[in-house]
Amino acid sequence: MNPRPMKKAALFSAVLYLLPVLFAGAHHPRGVQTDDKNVIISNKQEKYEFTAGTADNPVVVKSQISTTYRCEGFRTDIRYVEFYDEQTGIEDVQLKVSGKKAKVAPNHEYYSIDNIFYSDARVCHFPVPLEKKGSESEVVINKTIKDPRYLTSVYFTEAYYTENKTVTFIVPDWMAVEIKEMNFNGYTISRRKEKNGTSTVYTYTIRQVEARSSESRSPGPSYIYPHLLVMSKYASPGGKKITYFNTLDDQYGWYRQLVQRVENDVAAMKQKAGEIVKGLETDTAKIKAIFHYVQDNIRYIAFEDGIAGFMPEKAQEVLNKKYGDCKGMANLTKELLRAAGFDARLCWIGTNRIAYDYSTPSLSVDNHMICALNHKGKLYFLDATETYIGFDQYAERIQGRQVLIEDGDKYILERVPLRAPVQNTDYERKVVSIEGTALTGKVEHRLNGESREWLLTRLHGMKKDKLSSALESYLSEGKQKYVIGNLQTSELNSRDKELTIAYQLNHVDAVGSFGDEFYIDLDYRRDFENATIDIEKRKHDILFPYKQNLVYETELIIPEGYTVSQVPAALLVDEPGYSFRLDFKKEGKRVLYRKEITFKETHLRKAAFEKWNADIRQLKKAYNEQVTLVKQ
Amino acid sequence: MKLSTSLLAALFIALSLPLFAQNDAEYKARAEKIRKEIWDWDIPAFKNYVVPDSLANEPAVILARHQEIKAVSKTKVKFLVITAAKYKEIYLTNTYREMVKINDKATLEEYSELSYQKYKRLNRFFSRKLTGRISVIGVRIIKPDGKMQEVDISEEVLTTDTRNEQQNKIAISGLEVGDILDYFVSQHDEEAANSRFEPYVFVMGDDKPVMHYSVHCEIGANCSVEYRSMNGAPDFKLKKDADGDNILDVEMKNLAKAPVDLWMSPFRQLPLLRMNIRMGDSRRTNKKEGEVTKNPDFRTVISEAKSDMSSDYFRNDLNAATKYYAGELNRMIKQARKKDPVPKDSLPYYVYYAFRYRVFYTVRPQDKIIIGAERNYQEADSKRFLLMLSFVLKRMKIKNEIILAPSVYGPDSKQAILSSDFDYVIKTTEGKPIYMSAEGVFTHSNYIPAAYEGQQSPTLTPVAKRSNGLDFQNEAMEKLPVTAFSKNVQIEKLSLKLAENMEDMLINRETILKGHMRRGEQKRLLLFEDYYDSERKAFAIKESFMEEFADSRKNKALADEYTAAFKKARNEQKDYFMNEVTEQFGTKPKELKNYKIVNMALRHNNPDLIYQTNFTIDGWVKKGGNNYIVDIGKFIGEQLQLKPEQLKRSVDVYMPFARSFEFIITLDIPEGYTVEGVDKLISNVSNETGRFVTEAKVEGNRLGVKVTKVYSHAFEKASQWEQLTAVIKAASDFNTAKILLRKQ
Repeated sequence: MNPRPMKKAALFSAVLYLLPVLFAGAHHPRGVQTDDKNVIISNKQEKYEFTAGTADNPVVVKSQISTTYRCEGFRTDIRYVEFYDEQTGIEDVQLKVSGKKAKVAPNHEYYSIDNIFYSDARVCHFPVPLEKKGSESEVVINKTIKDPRYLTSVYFTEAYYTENKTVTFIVPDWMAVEIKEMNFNGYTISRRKEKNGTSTVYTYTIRQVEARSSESRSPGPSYIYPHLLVMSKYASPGGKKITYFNTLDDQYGWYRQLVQRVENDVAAMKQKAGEIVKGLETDTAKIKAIFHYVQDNIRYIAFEDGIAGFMPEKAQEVLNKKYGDCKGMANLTKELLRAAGFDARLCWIGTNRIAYDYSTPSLSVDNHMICALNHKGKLYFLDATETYIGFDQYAERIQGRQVLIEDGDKYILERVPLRAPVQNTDYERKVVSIEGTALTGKVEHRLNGESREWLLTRLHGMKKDKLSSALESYLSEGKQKYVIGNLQTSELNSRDKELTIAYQLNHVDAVGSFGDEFYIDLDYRRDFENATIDIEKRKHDILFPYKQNLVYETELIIPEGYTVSQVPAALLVDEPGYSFRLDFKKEGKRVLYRKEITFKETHLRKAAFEKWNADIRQLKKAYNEQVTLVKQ
Repeated sequence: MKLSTSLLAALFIALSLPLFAQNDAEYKARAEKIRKEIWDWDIPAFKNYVVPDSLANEPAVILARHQEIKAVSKTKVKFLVITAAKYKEIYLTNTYREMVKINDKATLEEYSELSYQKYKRLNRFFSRKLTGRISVIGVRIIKPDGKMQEVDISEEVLTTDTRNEQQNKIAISGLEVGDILDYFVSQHDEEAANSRFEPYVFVMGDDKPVMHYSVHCEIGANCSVEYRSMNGAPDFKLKKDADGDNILDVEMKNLAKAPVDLWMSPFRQLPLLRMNIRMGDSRRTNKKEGEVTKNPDFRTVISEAKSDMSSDYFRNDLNAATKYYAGELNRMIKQARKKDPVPKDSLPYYVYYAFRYRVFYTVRPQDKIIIGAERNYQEADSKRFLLMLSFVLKRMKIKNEIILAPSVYGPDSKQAILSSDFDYVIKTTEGKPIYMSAEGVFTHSNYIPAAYEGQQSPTLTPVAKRSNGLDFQNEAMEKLPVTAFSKNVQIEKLSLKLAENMEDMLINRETILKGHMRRGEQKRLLLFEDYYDSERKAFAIKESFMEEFADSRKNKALADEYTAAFKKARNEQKDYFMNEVTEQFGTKPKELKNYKIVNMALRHNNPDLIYQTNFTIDGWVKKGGNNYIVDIGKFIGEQLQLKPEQLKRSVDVYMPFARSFEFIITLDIPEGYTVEGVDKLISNVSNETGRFVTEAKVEGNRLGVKVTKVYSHAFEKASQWEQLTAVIKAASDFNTAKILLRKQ
């Protein structure tokens, strides 16, 4: 009964009372997903009609979505879910069960996703009963989209296997829309264009399409599912022309008038920037100080709130609140840099989840905002939502992406530079000797770029009294016998230096001692040994989080009186997307082992899965090879 | 009938029209007043912004925490059209204020958002002016330089907005590491009700140090209070004010961080105060108005448990229900006995299984089709299940009593303060006692859930009275029996063979789970289709529900549908087995070739869950020259590893139950190889708390390894921790054991 809403983990969670549940399912068992076709969509009709609206919303899109479900196996209830937001209204919901009109009581809720603090997205949901095998239930929903700019895409895939789906657009002659077909390859989608009085009717039909499936590390939906990109260009419903996004100029113009409405307090920025760069001599030092200030002091909280979803919060507000979304953080970075005398701009960008670029002007092209800095003729991009990335380092999700940079009434189109895997090098060096059956010695780590960011983000997510043991547990992979002593690290908040970690290692029982021989596993970490892909189950390509580059070196000092009887063979796998290099060398009284695993690309296509699996098996096989020492 | 329901509906619509009683302006004014009042509290701890040096390195320090509860109930009379009604207006305020120093980013994250229920509709049938529940929050930040800034609550956003409730949340603006956050949530309830019961727990411990913790309660003269101070918590100071209201205060200072880690029972280990406030009609609350009871006699809680039982029995007409079930069960047992005659003293077992069958196994045409794994996780309201079963048994002339069993994770019997501190267990009282409980679909007869084992428990025998109510006889105390480690066993028989590629290990495994060890895997692995069929046949029920449906014109189609659903469940079973193997061995097998349930363990006389799995693991055989090293220690599965901070322990150890593990591993030595390192596999760590013993020998072309791990007791004193850690360490050490296969 204590109102303690802040506590994420209550002290007495579920300790005391056995909650009575009256003969009803209490728990759901974990982790089994099946592609059963117990319920399918026998027919889905989605209709979008552009119609003349009011003075405020001169063109509105009326949409009717009718979905017929069929029970193929056994009776059940499914949940119908429809999203809407400030720009979209649901007017009417109808339900028919086995041909009879049924009562429907939709729940309307705020839609909350874990990492978004607030969004104007709402969800309307309700159960749809399927009465028996072979029976059908139908849901009809009428929606209105107040501004055609917000109708950006229509997908053909559904949450259920779909026998037939038709998407229709009714476009009056006064409306200019471009409909672009995306990812149609591999699907049979028929299309028809007909003139109907003063309108044109576009009809697309797909048959027998598998259900969408959510898989971890998948590319964004715009890469993998067939869909239509809808671009509303201009309209003249009452004879008066309204331009939507006819060209990128129009989209930029729309963005621009929104950001121009943001009243940044220049004086406050001057004062803060002055404080941050105080005592710093060089431009680079000043730029870094400002960038890192925002990274360090502004908490990222995502807001997606209607029109506010496109408009940054005022810089001084973000500064005072100490939190902001990407737009707020980009705008603050920009304003601080400008106040310190630099040429900084806002940028719109679509991260690598999005399959489009600005050649197709649409609100679905971008999903992120960053800051660009034009310094001595070179462009730098600053994304302060990446809390531990360095200056001039780029996160995978924005690398190579097209970026729309503000430039007064014009804009600049650029690309964020690509970075080689070496930006993210995770380097480990061990020098060890054998003591009894332990390996003892010194270990050093150096991490940079996204590998440093990955580790620092996790470490700073720990309470500081647990931080050191969390780091030890990361280094030892949770194994007690990997005993770490005298652990030292470089400053854990630094973004422009490599993160260095050094410790004394006593790896107990790491050496197999049999008769006169020692068997030694020089690879403790065995990275990616279990990375084979279940080809039968996996449906989509895989997107790795970033271009990892692991360089691990181990130097084993051969004890007095022993010689090396066997070192494992080298392994070299060099594919366009990745490479594995394992090398063993005997040099005097030492065995040198070097491993380098590099992801040259993060996108692993389905076509490459078989080769990947074979390569991983080779890698695992190589890991299973031991160095053998024998008594002389 | 029709008229009255529509009248009622109209009434409800009328009542629910104004969304919330107060409008925004009124709310704001009230919130301001409440904020001012709370910020003005004269509690010195909230004015102290200094963290002592000894706590300077803590990620977070609670400088002050205070909870204030005010409860008032007023008797009112409402004149209705024809008659007048007496009712209570209940006013309850509960304010929780806390001031915390934030010393790192993780703590900042923890306190960076505040969610709360701003409005909730409560009953105001008799008085429209009552507001229901309104909550007010206040947040301010004290910067390291002492400057204080108040957070603008209007920055909050709505997250739920329904007719009955509004939830809001706010991101705390301006909060940084190094700041002190001072916030409160103040909840104000006004409702019309006959009575209200409010239980509270004040825990004098947290995962952060707490420098000051106080509670202040003002309880109206016509309410009553009882409280219990436990595990060394201080007592409330009690006084009466001029109006006769009871004022209760308690304060504690400098509470160290409480251990909240492995194998704890916080209710028995942390200082805490539990308090119940009873408002309203004293006939309903069974307490005198204005009464404050300190550490009430637990027998008063037993009385409440009895009255709960009584009212459940009569309100839900269990008399009729049990009569019906007794008839049903009699028929089932009669039928079953034709097939399998059993001695009379086994009758209680039959009754239990028949009742379980009716509750969990029976399928009716109108039921939803739930036959996948989720069916295995179904639970019953255990109290009602057992109360009904007790009377069914009685109707079948089986004498029994109900035991009020406290959980080891709650207070012990004598420390109980709520009837819900107890669950029920049935015990038959003639001949050798048989215990019955209701954990779920697979609970055996003569079984006591682990959490109740060894607990001193009140027992009673309910008897139905002619008038409304139950009588209770034979009240006593009984200590529930405890199962030994030898009864709760996991046995793994593994036969290992190297694959031809000399890389993969082929594993034939048989798993036997006994006692408390079997429950989790029964839920995960069994199929309703199989266990339904097994129990149906055991009761000699001729037709399955599928056959019944198939024979009926109306439900014919259903049989087909169940067939489809069964097929789906059977397809999913492989994944559940895959998960089971992966969890046991800490690695996903390369391939799961076969899996099979050998014994479902549905009844006490066939009690061990047995299943077989056949799979391949790669990566546990390493190559060194011409020889192979086998990570033999990994085959006992991932063992518990204590974190460095867990090695020292000052609090007692509450484990789920005494238990033991046996691994019987045989490895076929490939032709042309000899095995080395066998002697190093032999070890023995044994002490009072348990043991880890390994034996190994080569016989012919087979290496045999036997590993036994025992946790002797469910409970150990903190002083035994060192001995227990020796056993735990020995087991985790064995995980790295290796043997060599040497080429001859």
